[in-house]
Amino acid sequence: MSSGTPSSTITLTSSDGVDVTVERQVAERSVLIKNMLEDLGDSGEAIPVPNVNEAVLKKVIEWCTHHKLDPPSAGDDDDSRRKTTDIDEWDQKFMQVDQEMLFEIILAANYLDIKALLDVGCKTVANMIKGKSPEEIRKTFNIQNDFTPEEEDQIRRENEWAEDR
Amino acid sequence: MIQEERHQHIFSLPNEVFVQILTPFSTRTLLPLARVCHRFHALVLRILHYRLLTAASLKEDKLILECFHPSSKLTEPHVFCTYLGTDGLGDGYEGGSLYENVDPAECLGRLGSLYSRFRPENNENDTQDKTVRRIINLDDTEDFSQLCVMANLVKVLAGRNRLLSAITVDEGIIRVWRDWLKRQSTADSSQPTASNDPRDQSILWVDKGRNIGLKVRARESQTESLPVLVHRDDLSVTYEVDIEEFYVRTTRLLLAVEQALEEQKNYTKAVIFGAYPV
Repeated sequence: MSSGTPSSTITLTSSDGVDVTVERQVAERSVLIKNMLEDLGDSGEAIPVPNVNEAVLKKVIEWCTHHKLDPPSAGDDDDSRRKTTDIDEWDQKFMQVDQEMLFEIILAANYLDIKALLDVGCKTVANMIKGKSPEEIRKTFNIQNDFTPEEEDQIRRENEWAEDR
Repeated sequence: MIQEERHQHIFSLPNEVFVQILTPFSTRTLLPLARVCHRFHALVLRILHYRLLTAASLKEDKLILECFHPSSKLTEPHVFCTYLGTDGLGDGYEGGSLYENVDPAECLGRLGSLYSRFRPENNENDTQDKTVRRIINLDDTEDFSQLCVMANLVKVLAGRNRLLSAITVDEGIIRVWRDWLKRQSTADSSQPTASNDPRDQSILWVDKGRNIGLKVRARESQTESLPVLVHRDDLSVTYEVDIEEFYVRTTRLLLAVEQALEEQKNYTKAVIFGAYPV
């Protein structure tokens, strides 16, 4: 594995100790890994990814592989309110996973600093919230209602300022 | 299954990710989410607070005030307003004294009680005095005069002679009563009027909901140039009314800013429909 020249593949070690070999170009969709490779040089040694288990890591690599030729993200200049929750078709299919995996992917994208994947994950969750009543949202995400009936009533009344027109 | 260590729930997501999830929601669709649970409530409050702060300062839009007697609708120019501040909102992300001693369930309502203050400024002529002044005449049979007031949010094209899209924040008609004018003009004018209390007596509220209001200073004016033949009745009187500040409910401003954004998205091409009156 360890040759003197920068290899075109690198090895990542998941949190549960599994080595996954991946094209360098694919792995560099992660800004964290890209910076690491730049700072430390490619020693050919496996890079530990302590927060991400094998199943999630493979899923993330699947996404990175599909998107490896995408232009690098536009940066922070689009931080103005991104109102749209449109997701491209492949990404939609990719995100058809159970909630637990969905949140794992989002957390991994956040940790590995893969902006575009984080974005898709957030939009997916936003679409699950959209158009639902508070009760339906609680059911969807298994959230405990920790308001007393009086508090809930009060909040409903206090929110009327947005409904008067 | 439950004791499995890596069980992820929506609340495993850190706040900054949560904020990103809720960002595409408009204020109207965001508010009901506050009822889900305490964590959602706190996030919604944080996002709205930040949005109000941004909306109030009107980075991309300009607020214009139209204020005219019904008979001078076509001649009275509109004036641009300069942002002065929003009392209580603070300038930080968490900001201000707004939530001090307030039950969490009441915080969102507090946002609805905020007012942003603007100073209308006359740019028609290059005189030093930019005060926006209206003359109110009451003849002997009139108990009140009327002022039509309209607050519009506009985008201004470079060069300042074209207005690009306008959203009406609110509008209405004020009755300015004889008694009120008399009281205002005799009030001690040496007192600073910068009390930022929305219950201030010198504020004329335009609408029932008190969404927009004018803080004014009235002064009886000497009518020196009356034609000789006009019978000068004791009851007819003329006041000069200075519009010192323009109060706009901040939440109202936010909704208007969002409406403007929404309409902008719907038009791919800019539609110019209003020219700056000369």
